[in-house]
Amino acid sequence: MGSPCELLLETKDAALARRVARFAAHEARRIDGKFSRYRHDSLIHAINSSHGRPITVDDETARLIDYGEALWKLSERRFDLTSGLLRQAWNFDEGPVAAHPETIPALLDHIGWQRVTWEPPTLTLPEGMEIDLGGIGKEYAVDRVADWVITETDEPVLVNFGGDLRCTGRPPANGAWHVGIESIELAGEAAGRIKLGAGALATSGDAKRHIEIDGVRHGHIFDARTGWPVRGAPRSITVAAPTCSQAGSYSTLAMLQGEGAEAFLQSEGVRYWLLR
Amino acid sequence: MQLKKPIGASLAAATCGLLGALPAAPAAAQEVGDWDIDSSLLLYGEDNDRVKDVSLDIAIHRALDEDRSFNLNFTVDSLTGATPNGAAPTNEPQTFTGASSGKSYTVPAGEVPLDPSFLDTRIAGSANWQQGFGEASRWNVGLTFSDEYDYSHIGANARLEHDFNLKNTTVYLGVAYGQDEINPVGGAPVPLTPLPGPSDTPGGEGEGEGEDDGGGGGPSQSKDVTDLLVGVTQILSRRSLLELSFSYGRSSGYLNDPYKILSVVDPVTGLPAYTDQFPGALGIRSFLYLYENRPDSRSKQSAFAEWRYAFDRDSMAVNFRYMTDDWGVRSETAEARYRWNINDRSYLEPNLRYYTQTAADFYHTVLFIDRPVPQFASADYRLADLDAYTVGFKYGHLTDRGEFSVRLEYYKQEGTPSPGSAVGELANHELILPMQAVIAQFGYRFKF
Amino acid sequence: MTPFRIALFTLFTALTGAAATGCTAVQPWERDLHARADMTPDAQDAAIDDHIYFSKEASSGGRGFAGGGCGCN
Repeated sequence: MGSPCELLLETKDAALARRVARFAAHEARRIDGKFSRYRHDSLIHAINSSHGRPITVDDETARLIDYGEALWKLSERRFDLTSGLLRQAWNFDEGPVAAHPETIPALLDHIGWQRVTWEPPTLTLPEGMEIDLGGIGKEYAVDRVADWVITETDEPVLVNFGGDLRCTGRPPANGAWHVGIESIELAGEAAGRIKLGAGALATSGDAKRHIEIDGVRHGHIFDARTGWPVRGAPRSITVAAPTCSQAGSYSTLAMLQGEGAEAFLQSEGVRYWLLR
Repeated sequence: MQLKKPIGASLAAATCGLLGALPAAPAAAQEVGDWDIDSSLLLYGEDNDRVKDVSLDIAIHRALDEDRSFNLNFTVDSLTGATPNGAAPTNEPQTFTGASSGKSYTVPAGEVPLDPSFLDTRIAGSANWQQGFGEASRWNVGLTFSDEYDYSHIGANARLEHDFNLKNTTVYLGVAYGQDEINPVGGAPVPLTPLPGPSDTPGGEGEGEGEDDGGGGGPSQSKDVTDLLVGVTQILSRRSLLELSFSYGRSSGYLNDPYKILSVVDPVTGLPAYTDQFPGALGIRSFLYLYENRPDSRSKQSAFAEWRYAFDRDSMAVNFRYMTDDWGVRSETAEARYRWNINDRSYLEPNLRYYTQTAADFYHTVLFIDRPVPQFASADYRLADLDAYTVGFKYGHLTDRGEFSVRLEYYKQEGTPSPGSAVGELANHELILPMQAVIAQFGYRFKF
Repeated sequence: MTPFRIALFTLFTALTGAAATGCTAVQPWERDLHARADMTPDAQDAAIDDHIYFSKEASSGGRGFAGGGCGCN
């Protein structure tokens, strides 16, 4: 997952707490392992080294690919499961200005869901392309754990995987979960707080990482159509929705709207907090 | 370029496909308000047409982040009504010059003299800033002020707190300094000199100074107050904690109540002595009353302990305070309250308080004409031997916007006159009027 | 009881209490009940009470604030 994962639960039942924690940890590791780009035994790695041969995927992977395809359509192709290659052009690890924009046109030849043949359950990825479920995997893991917790208990539970979170069951004793988010500007370094009584929160953007191109600050969410970071993207967007996947999708899609993020979120009628 | 059609329905459908089902309920998320406002309206009324007070208090708290916050407090209150002037009742009417108004008033025979012209409006405010430092410490500094037409105060305070032992223990240290200025109406009287008679032009005082036009007629008096506090809060178990503190306070300067007097009486008949029996008294012969005099310094120490206990639903607290000072006053206070959390949104909290104090060394219900005037003497009933109890309750109700509360309390106080005061005529009268008061407080607290 | 003795007694009780319970320190996850709002005394009520009693009795404070003054005692 690349971030600390935690579970908060209010209960007197220690056995329940252990059971829920065990499931959440197991599920997080399973999903991480299955869809990790780095592990040679992962399914994604198998897909990305298929050299254009068709691969049959399991039901869970198929559902995730369907979801990614839906987001590709809803974002008018800005969000794309195949855009991971762009990390070769924009390397944040080397510092804020490290970028190789001259490599983008060549990379764009290997990016674009329209080049992929997806007839569930068979996926054919042309040579040189790769898919990355990182943009939707963490929120999906939160939802999987939350949906299981609902069948186990009605006690207040908060599943929090690195800031993508969802609560289940009754509200906690003091009425709501108090969550600190960076999308609320507050004096000082600490985050503003949201009271979450039901549903999920997901945050897009990272106020701490950005690149500067010709003195203009850009975030690190890329428009798959152009290969460039979205212009005029807010620094951080947090959205509340019934599921973590929906919250994450709204915030990602809003980020991809750049200057139009607020207008997008307002027309969708979702509760959001945005920092520019 | 913007997406034209809302995508909500399509996204929901896609998510349903991914997860198999969607929760029925929408998300419930809103910002926590940064400003905490507590407001309350207090109505206080004593029996026998004594003091009535209406007061409005606003407390504002704002947390800037985890570490830093500030508090602002503003109070306005308006006092009216009568208060005992320190003189004793007798079998004839007595006439005095009113403290606040300069007008004279007459008290019927047999009644404890109450000055009816007590009228005062006061404003007070404070500001505090709190900041964390280190892993588990905090400092807090603040300023206070208050102003009423014959009295003003400014002060500063500072406090240091440190948590340790997994935050089970907190120790704190506080200090406060205040400087007060007293401008009695008509100027501060010379202590232990006779109150001018009703038909005299009061020496050094202007007639009809009136209310609320500020004290005058003499230099202002001042006093300063220093307080030190040290304490510890210790969590004893999952359900209980104990708070212990010790404080020391010292005030020096003008500590008299400029409006209080003492009756001087005959040691056998208990009837009032006359001004011509007092060496150096001027003017027309009338009953003899002397202005009080208290020492110009006072130091007190108190020890306080509170134990709080949480049940599964309810909670309770009991506390005890013991105070002694160098005026000879010793007091004990005990309080108990029980919080009944009726449900998630409302509570009822009955409470009890018991208070007892011993008289100050220089408290004299009356002075006797055959004895030398003591260096310090006051007949202010608040320095007498007294017992008081309070019984009351608080009811609170939480709504989506804030919490309403109502507090109703009954206070009863009974004083004991100095031993040997009830001589002659005085044995026929109640020398200290018991006092009963009803307190009603309406509060509203909300986040904003 | 001289002031010095009161101070000593208070400190002794406090430290004994702290030491005795230090052996069984309450863990952060066991402090659910202490976090309940009713386990913290209401500061505004306490300040109002303190002011009322200060003007009707000869004692003041001792609970932990150093507050303002008034012409009432």
